[in-house]
Amino acid sequence: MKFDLETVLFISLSVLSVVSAIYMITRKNPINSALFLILNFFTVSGLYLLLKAQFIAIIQVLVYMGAIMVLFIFVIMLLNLQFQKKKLESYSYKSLTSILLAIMLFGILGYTVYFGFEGKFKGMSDKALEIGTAEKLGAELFTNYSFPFELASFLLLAAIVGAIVLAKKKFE
Amino acid sequence: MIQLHEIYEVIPLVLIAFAACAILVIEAFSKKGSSAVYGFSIITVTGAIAASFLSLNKELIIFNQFLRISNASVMFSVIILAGILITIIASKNYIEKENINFGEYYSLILFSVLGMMLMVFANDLLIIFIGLELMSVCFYVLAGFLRLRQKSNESALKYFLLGAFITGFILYGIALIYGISGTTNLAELYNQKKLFTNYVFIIGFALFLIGFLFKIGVFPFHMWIPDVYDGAPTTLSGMFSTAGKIAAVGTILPIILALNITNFKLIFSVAAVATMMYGNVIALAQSNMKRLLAYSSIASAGYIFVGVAAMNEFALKGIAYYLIAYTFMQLGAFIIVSILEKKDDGSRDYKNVDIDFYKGLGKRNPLMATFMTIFLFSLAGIPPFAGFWGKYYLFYAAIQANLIWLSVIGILLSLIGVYYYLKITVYMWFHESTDLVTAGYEKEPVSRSGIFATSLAVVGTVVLGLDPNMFFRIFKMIAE
Repeated sequence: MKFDLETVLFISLSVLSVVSAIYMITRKNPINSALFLILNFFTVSGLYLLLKAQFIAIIQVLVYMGAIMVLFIFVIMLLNLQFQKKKLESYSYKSLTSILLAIMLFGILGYTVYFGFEGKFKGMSDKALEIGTAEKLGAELFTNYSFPFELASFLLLAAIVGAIVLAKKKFE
Repeated sequence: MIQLHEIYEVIPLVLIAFAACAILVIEAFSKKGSSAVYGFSIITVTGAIAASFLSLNKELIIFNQFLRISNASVMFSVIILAGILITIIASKNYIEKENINFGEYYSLILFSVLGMMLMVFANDLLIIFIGLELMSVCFYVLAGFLRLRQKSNESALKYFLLGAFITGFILYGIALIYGISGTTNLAELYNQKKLFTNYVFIIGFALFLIGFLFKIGVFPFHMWIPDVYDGAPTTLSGMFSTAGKIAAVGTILPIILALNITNFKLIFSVAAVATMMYGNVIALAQSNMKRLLAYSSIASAGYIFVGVAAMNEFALKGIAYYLIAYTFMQLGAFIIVSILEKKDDGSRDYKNVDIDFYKGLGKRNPLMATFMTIFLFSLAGIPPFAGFWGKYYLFYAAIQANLIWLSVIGILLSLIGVYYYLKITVYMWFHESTDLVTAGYEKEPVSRSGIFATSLAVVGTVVLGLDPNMFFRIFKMIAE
């Protein structure tokens, strides 16, 4: 294994993402958890960039870190969550199922990684490298997929109208 | 690539899409309480029905292979548009009564129609998904349109949570189908052989199918229907139970036929029996008219699935006929419930929707009682109304497909249904009004638009029943 910049970045980002994930689930203050989750999203988007998937990396930053995290923090602030000591100590069937599910997920991922590396790892083909770029995605969206792309705008418009109808304080 | 002239092939879609956006603007510039939006949406939908007939006999694949125009899809879209037209005509009086007279109501209905038409015209799983979402998002909002009523809120929330969950099923199914076949294009998918030897594809297709069974309300994915139809504004419950279901049937039926899935025959038969049994038996115990009609719509989904299980050419005809008959009678019944409903008085629940309220209706309001009787007789499957022929064709198709046991069970279960439909009829004509009702009852003036909408439905039910081949004949005539 040669130590070029990519390897160094990969190792540091992945260590940081695992550490931030562990910190996220062990913090007692929900705000701290949320902040560590942001750090985790950030490192994962860095990993996407290393995989040459620029578009997903940008979307990860915009959607997850931008929109969804703001929502999380709003909800935490609005609900005014207290330190939940009691719940952390109690073990119920829920924790058992979550442990089982975690083991299953780990098994599936491990299986994929193991068999993915069984053959010789050749690196990505040129075609695969192109797919993740914003140019390629944009070109597809505005040529071959322009029709569904336009339709999605109708879907969004209907959703906006619906949200306003339901949330408006008072109708004129 | 998309050519500009292709837009002439989808005039109905363009009209509806344009009108849905234009209504938002017209609403902003028109006076409060004006019926500009109402008239505009009626004209648009009528125009879209007329323009649909231009696309007959064309068999086109357009818009970069995303849309497919065939006679079957045009027929489904005409049935949907007919249902929507009746709903919109009947809506004006109702939304004024309920103090929700806003342009967004019509706009969201038209957006949902756009979604339904996209679904039936789709030639790509992507378009089906976008259409389904467009329809569902509008339905979630419309179900909760009576914002001050607790029941309406409950209905919208339940519909939204379950619907969003099911969307996940459909999307996951599409992902698996794409993963195995390498395409989301339906025409390409049909050409691939041996898809059903692959278990991942079967799982993917099953997930996709489950999503649609949920939208159609087939056992065991029917639990949301009574709660949602009960809580939603009444005219819209009628729309959900007709147009929404027809769009889902019209989307999944061609796919089932083209993939020629014989392995699923038994599953469809069992689902049909369970759905008919559940709908008809539980409806016996209902004391609320909206819930009763909701269970009757579950039973109707069961009859449709008798046809799906039969999967022959009689079944196709039967399903198409039953769908149009069902649109008229089910929608008509819901509209009459909406007309008789009590004016909004700030209460949390709908008033005057109990079946006890229908006692003595024949004396108080003979016209509405007569219309209601026609719809109920038709739903029960009593000749000469359209509902009879619909069931006749479907059970005949099942017999032709050697599913004699299925048609025998179906006929027995639909006999159970006759009981509760006739019970309401007896209440209306042979019972005296209860004191409880007469005490606080003010005769609701039945508006002209309400009479017009229900008359349209009555004419459809009676004429189609007297001459069951007329619908297909007219269609053929226009096509030629």
